[in-house]
Amino acid sequence: MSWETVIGLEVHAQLKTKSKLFSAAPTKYGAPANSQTSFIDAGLPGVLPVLNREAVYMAIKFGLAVNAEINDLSYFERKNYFYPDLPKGYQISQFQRPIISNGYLEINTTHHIGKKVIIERAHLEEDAGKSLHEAHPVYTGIDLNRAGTPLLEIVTTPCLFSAEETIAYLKSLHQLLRFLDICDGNMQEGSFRCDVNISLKRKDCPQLGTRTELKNLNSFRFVEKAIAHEQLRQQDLLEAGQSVLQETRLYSPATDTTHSIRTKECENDYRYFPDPDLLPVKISKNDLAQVEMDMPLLPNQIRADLLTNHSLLPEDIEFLLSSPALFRFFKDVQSKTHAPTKILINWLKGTYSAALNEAGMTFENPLVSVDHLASLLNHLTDKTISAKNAKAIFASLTAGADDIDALIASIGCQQVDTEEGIDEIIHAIIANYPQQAADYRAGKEKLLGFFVGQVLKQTKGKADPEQVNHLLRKYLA
Amino acid sequence: MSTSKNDLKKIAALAYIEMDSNSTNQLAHDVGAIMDFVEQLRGVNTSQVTPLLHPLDLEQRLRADVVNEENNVSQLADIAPLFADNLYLVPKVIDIGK
Amino acid sequence: MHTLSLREMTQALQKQQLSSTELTQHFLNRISNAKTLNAFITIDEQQAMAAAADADKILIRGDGKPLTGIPMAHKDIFCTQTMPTTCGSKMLADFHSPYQATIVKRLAEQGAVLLGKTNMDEFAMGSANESSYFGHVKNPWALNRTPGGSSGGSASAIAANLIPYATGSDTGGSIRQPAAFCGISGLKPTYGLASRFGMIAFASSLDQAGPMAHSAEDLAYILQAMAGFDENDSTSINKPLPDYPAALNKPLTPLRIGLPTCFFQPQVDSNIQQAITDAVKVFEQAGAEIVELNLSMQPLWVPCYYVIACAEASSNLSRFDGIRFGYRTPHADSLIELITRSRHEAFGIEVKRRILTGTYVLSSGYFDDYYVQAQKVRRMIQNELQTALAQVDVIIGPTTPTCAFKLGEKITNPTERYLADVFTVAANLAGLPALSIPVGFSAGLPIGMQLMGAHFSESRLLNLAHYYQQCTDWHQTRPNDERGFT
Repeated sequence: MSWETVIGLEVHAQLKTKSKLFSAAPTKYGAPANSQTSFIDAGLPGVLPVLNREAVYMAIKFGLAVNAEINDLSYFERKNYFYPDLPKGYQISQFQRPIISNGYLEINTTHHIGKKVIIERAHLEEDAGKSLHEAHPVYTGIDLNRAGTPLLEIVTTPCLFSAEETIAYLKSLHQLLRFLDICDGNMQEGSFRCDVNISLKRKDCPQLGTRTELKNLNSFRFVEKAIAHEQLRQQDLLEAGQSVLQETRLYSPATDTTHSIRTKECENDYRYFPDPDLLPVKISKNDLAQVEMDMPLLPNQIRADLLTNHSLLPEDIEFLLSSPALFRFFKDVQSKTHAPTKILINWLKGTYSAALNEAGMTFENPLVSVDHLASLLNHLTDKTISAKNAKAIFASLTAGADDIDALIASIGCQQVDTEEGIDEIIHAIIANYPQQAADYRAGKEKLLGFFVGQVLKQTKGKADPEQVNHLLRKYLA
Repeated sequence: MSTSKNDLKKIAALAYIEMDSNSTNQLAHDVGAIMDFVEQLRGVNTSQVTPLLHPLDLEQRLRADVVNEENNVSQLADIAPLFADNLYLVPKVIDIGK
Repeated sequence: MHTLSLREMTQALQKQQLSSTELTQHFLNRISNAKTLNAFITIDEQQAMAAAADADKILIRGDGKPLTGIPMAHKDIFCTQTMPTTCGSKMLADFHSPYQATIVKRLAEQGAVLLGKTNMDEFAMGSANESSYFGHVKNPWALNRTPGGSSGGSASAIAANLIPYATGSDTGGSIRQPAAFCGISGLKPTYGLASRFGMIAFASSLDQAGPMAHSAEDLAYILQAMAGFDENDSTSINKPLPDYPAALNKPLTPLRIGLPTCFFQPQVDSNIQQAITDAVKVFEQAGAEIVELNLSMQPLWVPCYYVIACAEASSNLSRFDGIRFGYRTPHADSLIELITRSRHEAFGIEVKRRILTGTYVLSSGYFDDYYVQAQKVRRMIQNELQTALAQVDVIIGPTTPTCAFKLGEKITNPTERYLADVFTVAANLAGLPALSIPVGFSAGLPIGMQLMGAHFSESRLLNLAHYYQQCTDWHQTRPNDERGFT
């Protein structure tokens, strides 16, 4: 008996607008409870929604990126149900006429290169608030900060047949949304939520089996595990002659199992109807043209472009595509350096990433500036400094040293090598700048660079930067 | 078409309105009467007609993506029936992940 | 003082023949002597006098606008920050809105002196103001009769000269029908002309805010101040407002009046029919041409309206769940109990009827046959009216088929009362402007005539009504209040 797994995915992507879908409240993550809840978000009597232009443009961007139809007329509907994190007792969503339909995303797996995953629709809807069950001993606490945040719900047809395909699609989608700059993709914070609809059928049977919906999958690993577990569970049931219930199941990472929470759709009749407080959304040729002008480079285009450089390996390319900030940084440095691209990539992949990891940072806030890295690599390529020296200079730069020329000039000259000599100098400088020392100790890490600079000035660049760094940290601790 | 008590109980459950036996009887009768009254709509031939969603033929205006709201938490707290530590409080919900 | 027209009051205030303080105190006194009418849910004398004092300062400077310093009231459906907003319901009996409705803001900016909030049918659902949690309102013309609804409090208060004007809301006739029952003038503007932001929603595609006062001239001034684009309301029209007062006295252009035959059926009180015929003669004498209209869709107006209104209301009222504002049941052990019991304990029976009906017509299996069908019929109704309004300049008829009902009449079938709206709902379904003015009496009870026009034809409607009110004086008749309303 061979079973075929059929999977369809619903991804809810939080759009990176500054304000909410229907109100002007902010959307920043992590604010104190109910401090970003406007009267509209709280569903007070008499309030009305007004649609955020940027959310519409972001949806259009997505539609263009997946070769979808941008419906020039779409409208909002009310999905009616009661829950404390749903202030109005209905969610404003799109049902019959979504803004985007019939697109596709190509994925690559071990069995299939260039498989088209059909995106049946993508529509705009508002997010609900949060229920905090542990907030209070007796009650559940409701925080409505998230209520009203714009979501783009992206739905595929049931056209995925394995966990591998599922993950490939999710990763491609995740990457695409980040490169489009419409979603930050932070799964821990809930900006990218995946629901998996999964069913089994016999290989040659044309009809789909009963599907279950899997939720609470906060990482690609959990998606994989949940699918594996559910496949087995359904297979066991079917082989025992029992039927699969149409229901929603939550994945529990602790036990690596899924458990039922409610029977999907049977209990809730959402009574969708067009929202009378909102008018039909018309997308003009002008709107489309405006969005098209603003389209960033898509991962596929970047990949194709990078592949023309035959010195790059697939891993190099995927590394560059792992974050839009990284890719931007790479491009900026590339434009200012004549070092071979491969060398630049090795530096980013190796030394630079290691430094970022140690500092707990990302390419969103580069430790070493574009100009500095470019200059360093240029010197390296011109052989005015050795690889070892380059690493040392880089270390100083990450500590905050600013004068790269001074650092480079210090190479090759006699180094002040008695630790004592250096010690005195360092102590004197620390004594001379008590305010900066105090500030550094209070947490202003960047001031280390200031001290490094002072030491180098004093020693006319002759001190070993790595040693200076090390000693300063020791004495300023 | 009359509305049975069972039908009414289902609708009341959807509408989240508690019913006692008195209200169920009364409302089953009343809703039934209203549904009988509106039944005449079904006889109209509307095969060539599209629904009218808004009286005027207009498009949705779009708002610029600008933050324009202050922290309202104290005003929300003032009007809330049960509110503490900046949270609305409701009886514990046992499960229902979303 | 209370028999002055709005324009006369404005002139007296601006010439300093009268102060807002005097005027306000005068009306507050009348209100306290008319408690039996129960027209008000909230009166705030202190606030009113403070607002009057502020208005007087402005008037003395010479900066007064037409409504500056004139006492008024808002129907308790409009959110005000300085007084509770109850919507006539136990659900909101203690609700203090943290924001104000746009039209409240606009009238306040004009220097209006707010005395209080008027009584209304609960959540605007009703035609007799008998469903208010705060008790029923009485008609000053006959204390054993209703003033109509849902803006019954506003209508009663104006008719009894407790305030010169008030705001109302109209979803299926809730401004026009009480105006007719109480012998005053009331206007429902074109859908989208007046902002709905801060007006507690009943049926969003039908609701409109509007002015209620003694005359069309008064209405023109109030509409001018209230109406206009509001960026907070997506359904608000972005068009510059015409000058309504300036249009009042323009000469009557060649006029074609449409009289639908269905407005003169036997079910319509014969005195009402006669009064309308007499009123129309006034226009005929000025050269108007009468065109008989056949509105074949008319029998479907009321059922179509009720399906749509109940459907939208069932969703609009879902936010009342005892969690963020309003009534919360003191005894609930689970979340479901909290919500279902709060709603059961705080909603009145008419509200429950409509929520349940609305839920029904939207539910799976019924949605296409009822809700979608009603929306299609709605388009047919609008088409027929717009075709008619291409042939005529205004459609005229009785506002209601009967005069004011007796209070406490036992109703076994809820739909009997719904038929009171038979002539008014069409304007809401099609989004057309319509007003009601007094045109006579039947056995001592006022008769109202409705004028309905094409979208954005308020200037014309007010102009016609004003013309009629120059030739007649029904609008100046007041109920006998020598025995008072105590």
